[in-house]
This record gives sequence, C-alpha cells and structure tokens, in this order.
Amino acid sequence: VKAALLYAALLAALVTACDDTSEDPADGLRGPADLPESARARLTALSPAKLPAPPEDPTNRYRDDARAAELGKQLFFDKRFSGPLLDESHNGDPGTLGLQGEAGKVACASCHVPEAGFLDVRSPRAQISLGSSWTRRRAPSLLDVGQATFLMWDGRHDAAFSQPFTPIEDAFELNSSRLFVAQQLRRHYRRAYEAIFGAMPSLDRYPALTPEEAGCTALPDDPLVTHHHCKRPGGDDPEVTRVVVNAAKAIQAFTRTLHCGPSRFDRFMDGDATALTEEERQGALLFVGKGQCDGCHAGPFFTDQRFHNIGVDPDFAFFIGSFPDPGAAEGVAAMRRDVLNAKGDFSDGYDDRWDRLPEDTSSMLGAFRTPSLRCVSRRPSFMHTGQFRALEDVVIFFTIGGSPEGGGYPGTSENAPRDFTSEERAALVAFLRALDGDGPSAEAMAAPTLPP
Amino acid sequence: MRKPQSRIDAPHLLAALALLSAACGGETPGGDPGGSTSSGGGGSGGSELPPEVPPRSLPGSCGLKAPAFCEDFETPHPGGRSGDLDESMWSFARWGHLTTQHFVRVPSTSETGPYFDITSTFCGKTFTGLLPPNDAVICDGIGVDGLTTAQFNEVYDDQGDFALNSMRVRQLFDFTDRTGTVVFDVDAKINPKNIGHGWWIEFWITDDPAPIPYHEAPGIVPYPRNGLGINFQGMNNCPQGRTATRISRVFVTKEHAIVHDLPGDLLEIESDEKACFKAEDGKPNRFRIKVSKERLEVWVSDFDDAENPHLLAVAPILDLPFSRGYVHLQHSAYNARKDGGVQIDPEHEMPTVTGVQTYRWDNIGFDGPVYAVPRAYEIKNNDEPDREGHGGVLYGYRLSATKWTRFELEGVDVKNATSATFALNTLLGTGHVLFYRLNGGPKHAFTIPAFSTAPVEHREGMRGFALDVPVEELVQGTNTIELMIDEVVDGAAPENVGNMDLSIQANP
Repeated sequence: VKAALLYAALLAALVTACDDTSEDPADGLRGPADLPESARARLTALSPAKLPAPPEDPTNRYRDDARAAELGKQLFFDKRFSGPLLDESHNGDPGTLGLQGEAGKVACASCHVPEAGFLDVRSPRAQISLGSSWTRRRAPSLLDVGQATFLMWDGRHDAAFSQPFTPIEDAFELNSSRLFVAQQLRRHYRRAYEAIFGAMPSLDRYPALTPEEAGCTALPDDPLVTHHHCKRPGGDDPEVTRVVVNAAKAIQAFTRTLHCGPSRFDRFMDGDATALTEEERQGALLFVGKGQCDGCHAGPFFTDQRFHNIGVDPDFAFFIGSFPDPGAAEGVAAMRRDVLNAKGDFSDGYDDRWDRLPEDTSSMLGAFRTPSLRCVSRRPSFMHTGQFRALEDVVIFFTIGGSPEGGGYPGTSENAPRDFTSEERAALVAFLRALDGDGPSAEAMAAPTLPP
Repeated sequence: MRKPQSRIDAPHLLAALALLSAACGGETPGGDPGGSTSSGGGGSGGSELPPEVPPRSLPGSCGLKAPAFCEDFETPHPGGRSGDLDESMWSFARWGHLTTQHFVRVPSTSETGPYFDITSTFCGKTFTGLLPPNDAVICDGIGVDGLTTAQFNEVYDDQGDFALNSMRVRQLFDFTDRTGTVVFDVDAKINPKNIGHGWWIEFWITDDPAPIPYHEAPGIVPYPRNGLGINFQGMNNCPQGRTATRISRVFVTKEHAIVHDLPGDLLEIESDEKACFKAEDGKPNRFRIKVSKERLEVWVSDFDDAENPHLLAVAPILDLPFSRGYVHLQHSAYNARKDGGVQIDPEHEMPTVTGVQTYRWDNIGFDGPVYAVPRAYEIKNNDEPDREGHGGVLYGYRLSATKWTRFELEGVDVKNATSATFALNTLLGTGHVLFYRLNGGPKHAFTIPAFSTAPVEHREGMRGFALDVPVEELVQGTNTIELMIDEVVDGAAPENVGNMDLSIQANP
C-alpha cells in the first residue's frame, strides 16, 4: 500500500509539474518569474494550478446527487412557491415583478438572474432587490457559492439547506411559508421528490393554502419582526419542515454546480504573460502589495469566508433610506439559535465550522461576509446593499479607507486609507475586471421545463 | 385629430407667421411610410461650437462677475408647455405616471387637512387643481436678501411614486480648461420626516440636450449620455436638525452608464455641520457649483444667512467625460405621503407630509464663454384626459408601429443653420427603434442604446435622448416631424414619447 501511495504521489507531482509550466518546482510559486517573490507568493495563493471544487459538506448528503441537482434547478426557477407581492412598487413597470397583490411572481431566479451570473440585475437601480418588497440587502452572486460555509451577507445560515428558509418566509422576498411550499411540492413535484428523498408525508391535516394565503398579507413595519399579518400554519411541524429541508438540499445540489471559472489572471499565473495587460499586471501587484486587498479577499476565490466591518455608509438605495445594519453580530447569533443549523436535527452531519467564528458575536457588529471577487465585473453594484454602482467607486472607497468615523455604520471599521493614485485606482479596476471567467454553462443557465 | 403646435421663439415670430402653411398636423393613414433608412444620431447636434456672441447680462448679474447667462425671472413669458418660462431660453420637462398611464399629471392641490403639518403654497397661496402649464408660474417671493423678487414657482403632485420637473438652460455652459461656476437660488427644503420619501432638488450638467437626466428610479432610467449630477437629499444626519440637508450622492455617467455614484460621505468635507445647509420652505438658499473636469465644489448658504454660501463638499475625483454641456435644475419627488404618517387605527395611516410640493427658483446663471442660444421650437404637450379619472392630463403621445405620427412645428427659422437636434423622452426599451423623418424626407432610425455596462435585464423605463437632425431636411416655416416605432410591445406603456423639442444652432 505504501508503495502504491508513493507512486500515486509521484505521479500527481509529475502531472502537476507538466500542467503548470510556470510553477517553480523548488518553491511552488506560480506566475512570471520576473514578479517580485513576495508578490508572486501571494498571487499564487489566489490562483492555484486548478480551482478547487466545492468542499465536502456533511450537512447535506444529497449535495452531489445529480437527480437532486436537476430537481433543485426546477425549484430554483419555479415562481409557484411565492405568495402575494406586497410592495406598491410593483406597478407593472419594467423591473417589477407584476402588480401589488399578485401571487406566484417570485422565484430564486428572479433575484439571482442566471444569465447575469446568478445575481440581481433585474430590480430597478440594481442595488437592493425588489422581491415581494424591497429587501434590506443586495442579492449576492451565486457563482462559487458552493465554496461558502456561512451564507447570507450576515452569516445567518451555516448550512446551505437552511438558507432558502429565509427568502421563503421573508415577507420582503418570496413572502411565502414552509407549509405552502410543502403543499406546492406535493402538488407539482411529488414524483421527483420521492424518487430522491422517499415518501412525502401527507399534509392533509392542514387546509390547502391558496397562493394569496401563502405568506403575509401586509408588510411588517420592522423587516426583522414577523407580525400579525403573517400567520404561517405548520411552521413548527417537523414533517412540514423536513419536506422543505429536502427541497432546499436539492437546491444546494444545483447551486454547487455554479462557477465563475478560470480567468485571464489564472492564465497569467499559468505562465501566459500576455494574458494581462501591463496595467492589469500593475493592478495585481497593487492588490497584494500596497492595497493589502488579499488580507480579506484571500485564497482561490478571493474571499476568506469571514466577516469584516469596512465602514460602509448605512444609507442604501437612495429612495429607501438608511438602515444601520448590525450584520454578522446579529446574523451569526441567529444562526446559532436556529433549529435548522448544521448541528440541528435536519442536518446530515457536522464538521468544525463553528470553530471558525468568534464566540462573542458582538465583535462582528457591522461586519459582512467577504464576497468573492471572481466575476466581480458582472455585478451592477457592490457591497451588501449595493451602495456603489461602479468598481471605480469601490476603489475610491478603499482609497479613502471607508466612510468616516461616525458615518452612521454600526461597530468599528477595520478599514484604513490606502492613498491610491489615479493611475493605481485605474490599474486595480483593470485587474478586477480581469477576474472574469466563462461563468456557468448555457445548460446551467437555461430555464428548465417545469412540471404542471 | 391631434394637432400639436409649435412654440415660436419671439424674435422669429413675424417671419414665421409669414411662412405659415395651410398644412395641418395629424396622423397619416396606415401603411409603411417607406423612404430610405439611415442611422439616427443621438448627438448634441454636431461637434461644432456655437458662435460666441456679446454678453446679454450685465456684470454682477446673478452674483457673477462676468455672467455668460443670467435668468432673474423678472419677465414672465406665458404660453407654451413651460408656463411663464421663456421657452426660447429654457426647455421644461415633466415626468409623472400612474399605474396604467405615463407622461401624466394629475391636478395639484394644496393638502391642508388635519393630518398635514407640512403643506405647500404656490405663489404664496394655497391652490386647487393646477395642471400644466399653470403649474409653472412667475410670481413674487422673498429673495436671498429678504426683499420681494420675482421667482419661478413650479409644483406637482407626485402621484404616489417618482415624479420630476426638470428645466434646462438652452445656452451651452463651457468649462473647458477652467473651473466654471453655476449659480442659482432655490428654497431647497427636504421632507423633515424623510426616511427616503419626500421631495428634493437635483442639479445636472449633460453634454447633450436630452431632457430629464436622472440616476435611475423604478421605471425612470434616463441616464444621460455623459453627465454630472448632484442629489441634494442628505437624510437625517445633519447636526442642525432634520430640516437641514446635504449632498446625498454625486453621479457621473459616460455613454449612458454610471461610472461614479459617490455617496456624500465619501466627499471631502470640513465637518458634518459645514457639509449641511439649513433649508426652509419659501426661503431660498443660494447655490454656487464650481466644476472642472477633475473637481467639483459645492457651496450653499443657509436659508437664514442666504447671501453667504459656505463650502459643503468637494468631489476631487471626477474624470468627467465632457467639458461643456447643458445645465438642468430639477425638482424630484418620491411618494412623499408615505413618510411620517399618523396611525388612526391599527389598519390605517394618514399621511402628514404633502405629496404636492412647490420649489421657487431665482437668479440662475453661469460664467464662461457666451454662446449663441439655439433657436428652439417646442412640440406642444398632448392634452388628452387621463384614463383613470383623476382629472389629470396625458401630455405625452402614443406612437404606432405601422404609421407615422405627425407633429408640426410652425415658424421654424433655418437661416444660417449649422446643426439641429430633436430632443425627447421615450419609454422605448433598449434595442427598440425610434424612426423619425422630417418633412416627408428620408427615414432615420435611432436604436435605443443600452444604459449600463453591466449585463442588465428588464431595467427599462423612461429615457432621454437628443437625436441629430440633418439641417438640409428642414425647411423655412412650417416643418413636420413624424415618429414611428418598430414594435408595439404587449403590456408596454402606451405613451411612448413626450417633452419634445427641436433646437437649431445657427450662425448670426
């Protein structure tokens, strides 16, 4: 066995060496040899020879089941799980989802628009998203979401199978309920569901909800608090929850297949010195040098998968107002309380993921998850509420070091001025644009046929 | 039969009258209009600069040492779609919509019920049933020096959503290789209960004369081709209290896409207090905007020290893609009644903030080279009653995909014309085509360009464009402009165009 392992290791090393002509076998560094060594090491960390596949996720044993992925894709595109549109902004204009009061108008794909990179380019102004109403944060890109352990901008979920419960039950998103979703699954997806997860329980003890009864009948004053307009029968029934959990596990099986893919930067690190322009190359050096951007945008997906307060102004889309968002301080605390978390009964397993978080969540006040920068140029806006609508402005933000102290954001900012010159800002933006990959396949983006 | 009529600029009135033809406006019968197709423009009427002319304003006017332009509103010019504004110097545009109607204004009436602790007046009085053009009037008010002065009042009901009045100086403002200064006075109040809704003012400079430049709201996407905009709607974070405000955002657009959307707190400021200005209804603030290609300074006075603007903020990083353009002053609103409501029972809330607001403008000017003002000819607003029974008026026009819709412009003077532009707002979506032809001549096609560099779906709505018009296709006297679209999309807003006018640049 030892000999076989040794042989395999040697073979793997040989294959790697042959595949990666730019890698110096002595030090493992990639990229053109004329780059400064320290920069080369840091750039190598951002661009391994092969982008890793999504890590194992013990919370979902169906995560790589092809049948589950197929079902998950259908669920992702299906609007029939949503309740009534509550916001008066739904007036039939372009970018809205219909008319206020209409039901069955919102799917995951409504705010994670596939052809745009599974992010929201549909909502007016393309900052915060218009689901049933205006959400308080921007719908993030789902490309490479399989790499993330903690989901949502604030880490509210530590398991991908629990994440869909937030949009489903949020009056501002699908404005639905787990009972209605379970009933709709039984109506439209029973065969596909049972082929994967086994028999679907009878839900006859509940009255059949109409789409209009699926969620809340009016918007709550406080977006974080459920109110008397939201009834949601069956919300604490484990059988109902289990059906929706399984559906969510299928959705995770689909979203794990969504990738940005290798970029021109990776080709550059593979040894093709022409893959980046001189300006983009300078941007790469600034990214890991003067900018220290890889302090947070670290690793092959340009994210440390952690939470940071960078002092973002609490104002979001100008017509909505200001929301001093507590971020991960509240989100992670809520995740730990959630019966749907990775340690709960609906999880298929647990690893050490909580160990990566501080015990004291108050230290994460105003902190948000570091987004991946791969395919960043596809995004119409940036930061958790889309405060910035141009990459140039994001770089200006970091040049200044974030909003000034006392700018209204909660917590303490880690950000600091970087004093980029005009040329340096342009180089950084050029580099960020060079991180675009091919994106998901046309097949992944194509709308599936939905069952009647 | 619709019969749009032109607005004739005063200096050419007699000549125009002599040349009036007997032809009437209206829609031509159906069928393909034929004619050759050529590409449309979208430009600013040629790259040639207008001829320079002697100053029209005395030194010191509008507080400028050497004003290139100064409007003090001492002389009303009634008529036309912009009320008392002088249409030969100003282009006035409106935007408002209801659920099923666009380019619509409902009557503006003071809201003075028991729940309204903030109300509005128009020319110093409460008012009832104002519709265009009676919603834009010059009358006396209190100036920055505390004395009575003529001011331009404009008002509208926001109709529960976004709405705009936008006025553009027709004369070109040039800040090439220098810092140019634009000045104006306005009572720049915001809704003190503001959490996003309310009313506020905006300032724009655009490189072409397309009407209503904006930075996007639901259904409103008229990103200017190249523009600089300032949104004065800073909310709830001024030490002077909630009636004070500041810059909310600074925008730069390039080729109909946002390249900067800088929040006010990223601008250079001396202190939070200095970054704000106190505003009050009926008491003007004085604005002084200093702009170069690289840098923007904004100076504004408090209403109670109105003659002395202080530096609010500096935007040092602009990289403007233009150095001469047109100044637009805007009154914006978004469903003001929604903020500050009083709960009268568990299910019902009464608004306390009026959705009908007036701004009073005065002493609008800028410095720099004095260019000849283009000759201007407005297409009269439509006057159809609104279809939802609000007593309002549809001022835009529906276009057909199968026949031309014809508009007449009377008294057009094409002598010594060097370039011409047809400006309008439209609801046509990206990729759709607006066809236009002049006096039955060749058919031109203008394809609605995308407005963002990011991949965007469905983000359509009202846009603004300035189309090139070949001067050789214009005639002296009455001209026809005919419009048609490539496709009537099911469910799309039927009112396709509005706020249209023709500008002709000419040598003296």
